[in-house]
Amino acid sequence: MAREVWNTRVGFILAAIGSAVGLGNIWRFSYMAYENGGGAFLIPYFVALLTAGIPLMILEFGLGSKFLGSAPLSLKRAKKSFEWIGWWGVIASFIITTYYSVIVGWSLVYLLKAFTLGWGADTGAFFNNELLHASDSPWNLGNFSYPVLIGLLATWLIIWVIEKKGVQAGIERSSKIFIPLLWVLLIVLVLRAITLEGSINGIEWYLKPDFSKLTDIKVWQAAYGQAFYSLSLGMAIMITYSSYLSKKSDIVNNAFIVSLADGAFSFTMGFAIFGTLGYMAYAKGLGIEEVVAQSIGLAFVVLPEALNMLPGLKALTAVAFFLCIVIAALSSLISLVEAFASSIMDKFEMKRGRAVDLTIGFGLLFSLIYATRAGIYWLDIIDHFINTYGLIIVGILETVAVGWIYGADKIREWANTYSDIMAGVWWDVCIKVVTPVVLLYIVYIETKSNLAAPYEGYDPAAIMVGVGVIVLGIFISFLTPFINKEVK
Amino acid sequence: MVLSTGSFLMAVFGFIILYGGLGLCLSIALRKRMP
Repeated sequence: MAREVWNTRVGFILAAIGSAVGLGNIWRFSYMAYENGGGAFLIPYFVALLTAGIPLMILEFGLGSKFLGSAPLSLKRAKKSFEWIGWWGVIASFIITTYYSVIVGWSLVYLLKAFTLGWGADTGAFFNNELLHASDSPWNLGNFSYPVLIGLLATWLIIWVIEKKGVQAGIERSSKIFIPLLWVLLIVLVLRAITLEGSINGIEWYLKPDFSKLTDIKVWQAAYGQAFYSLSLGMAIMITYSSYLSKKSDIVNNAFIVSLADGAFSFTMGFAIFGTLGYMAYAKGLGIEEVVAQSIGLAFVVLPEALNMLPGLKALTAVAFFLCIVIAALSSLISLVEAFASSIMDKFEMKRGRAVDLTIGFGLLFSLIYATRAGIYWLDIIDHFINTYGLIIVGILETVAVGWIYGADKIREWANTYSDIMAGVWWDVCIKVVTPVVLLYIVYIETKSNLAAPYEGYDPAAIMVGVGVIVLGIFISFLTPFINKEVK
Repeated sequence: MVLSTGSFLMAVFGFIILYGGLGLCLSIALRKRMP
């Protein structure tokens, strides 16, 4: 079976940006800046981008384009015993797929509601009671929440249609529509936010530099975490996407373009988020610290309330905001599904149609747990553990396996072959020392905190289920290489 | 109200590094395509 290829370089770059730019760019970056020194956070963030994010992106692009395989196959072609590392990345991606699809489902519901601001005056009650029908504990699954279930099914249908069409007609074509539209929506949201009364106060809080924070190691930990998580690294995605490149492709410059575009999107979105929060604080006569939020609470509770309070263009702004969320999340979800589908296509010599059907079938099946009334709790628990013990561990293993065992210089020479910007010895130092050391430190800190007290005060038994999912994933990734049928 | 000098400078710093860097990389990529 001939491997699919991107039609154009632009197509590849847009698809990789689509994967990197996701929910975290919208609801996490600006809050991290606000919490960690405001504008001063940009300094550790840029350092993290240059010493860990971009080097790891070059490594993953280099692996995929050199060995022309999904993550497990590329790593296996580098050294047979590395295959399981690729599978751990693929399985971690699959676990993320199962709950990420549910968040896209929620976003689709909100997008429909946005036309009439249908979440009503009490946005918290709408989200928890009318949308999620949230129960009181992770063990009380109850029935499905039907709005969530319908949104989830619609999400999987969209992904199925795009994935079935393949790399060029599906992923590349959709990226060429989604990503330019995403930037247009970003500009619309920023312009709307900065023209609101009080928005400058919010932006002041977002950017006010506190350089004393630069001596706090937690700020550097947050910056490295943000740079790593935001770029879809350690998820088998970038290796898979770059395996569809032609042999004579620029690796280093592509990695810089994708990483800088991802950072630029996050940074610019901060103006829209904090501008709107600034307006909300002004309108309610509160301080920004009383309205600020991040993650799910920001997108589905606080911002809908702010949208209710806008002086004009309420529905238009609401539609632009939720369309932005839907597109950012959909383009990331496509890449997560592709990483898994591509791996089973390579491993079992399967045709795309069947691999996509299987990936989406199992993805839908496992995602149903998050559409129950306890779904939000399981989403929170699994997300917490998979980020540290999935993605970060895969990142560490990749740097050790490729940097120290296979040879960083070999990947660097390959990456430089057709690149306009050359990776120098600095890249070897980042891959062999800086990135693994920083990522190991993050795992150490997270583990210490996990052992000190149950995450978010959840029932320890529920935490054990979350840990159990991770252990099972690692176990499967160890076993999969022993299945022999495979593309050589 | 206007942005404080510190916040304004950080905004400029962020835009220059991210969009300047992106523009530079894109211009290098585009130059390759010129005859």
